[in-house]
Amino acid sequence: MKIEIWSDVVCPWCYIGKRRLEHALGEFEHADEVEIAWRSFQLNPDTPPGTAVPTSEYLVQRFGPQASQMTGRVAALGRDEGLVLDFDSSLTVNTLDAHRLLHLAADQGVGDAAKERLLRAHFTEGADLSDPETLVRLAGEAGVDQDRAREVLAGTEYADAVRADIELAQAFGATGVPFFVIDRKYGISGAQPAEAFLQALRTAYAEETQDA
Amino acid sequence: MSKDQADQSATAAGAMPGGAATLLRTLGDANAAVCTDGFCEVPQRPEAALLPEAAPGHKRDDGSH
Repeated sequence: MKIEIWSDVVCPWCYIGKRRLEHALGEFEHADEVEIAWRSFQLNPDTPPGTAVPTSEYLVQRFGPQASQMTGRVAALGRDEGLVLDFDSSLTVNTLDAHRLLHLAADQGVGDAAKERLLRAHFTEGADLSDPETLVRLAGEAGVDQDRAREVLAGTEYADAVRADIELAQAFGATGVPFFVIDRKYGISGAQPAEAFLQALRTAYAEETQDA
Repeated sequence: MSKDQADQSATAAGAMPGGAATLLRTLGDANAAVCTDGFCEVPQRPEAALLPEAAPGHKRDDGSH
């Protein structure tokens, strides 16, 4: 069973959804048959590369004063999952380079570790994911070869892969993230409660086993 | 192009035979939270009495978009 997950590293629901899916997989009887593939999605593709704007400031500019209420509510739900979502220190950036590194990490067999590391760096540590050296350091901490990471960031490698992911999400009809696809047959949108993820996994597994 | 890239390009093309979007069967809670265009509101639920107003920009995601 292959689960493809479209998400962005600056998407709080993606972080929360990741944790809830992990909880569901902890209960899923066939978790050892599950393969996870991270797919790229950019929530703010128009953010100029190489710039970092405080997320709280960015959200107020885009959505007005209600943005602080929004982040407060999301942060509270993050705490329920054991996550620290610090919107006061996080920085909104163009995540293309981060996604390119995530593709490299997947090729090196550490895609999930890299995804987790970048999410924590953005939401909890206030890391600037537009800074190449920061990305190289974080990738290295996740097990990515740092020289190779530096080489990728210096060019445009994996940019096509990122675009292909985004186009595929659009083909599947996804307009938001997180977005989960099981075996290219079942779509699951949003940060589902762990129980809903578990039920969806069991339903998909049972139907696919029946069809086989 | 890496093997990974080639694989993804192939699947992206395969996802739209004849230009029509592939239909997925939707599972899970239709009102689960998503981030759309940078907006990441908490979805409204009937029991969420403390969240009275609809959030501008939030799209109810029923998987049919």
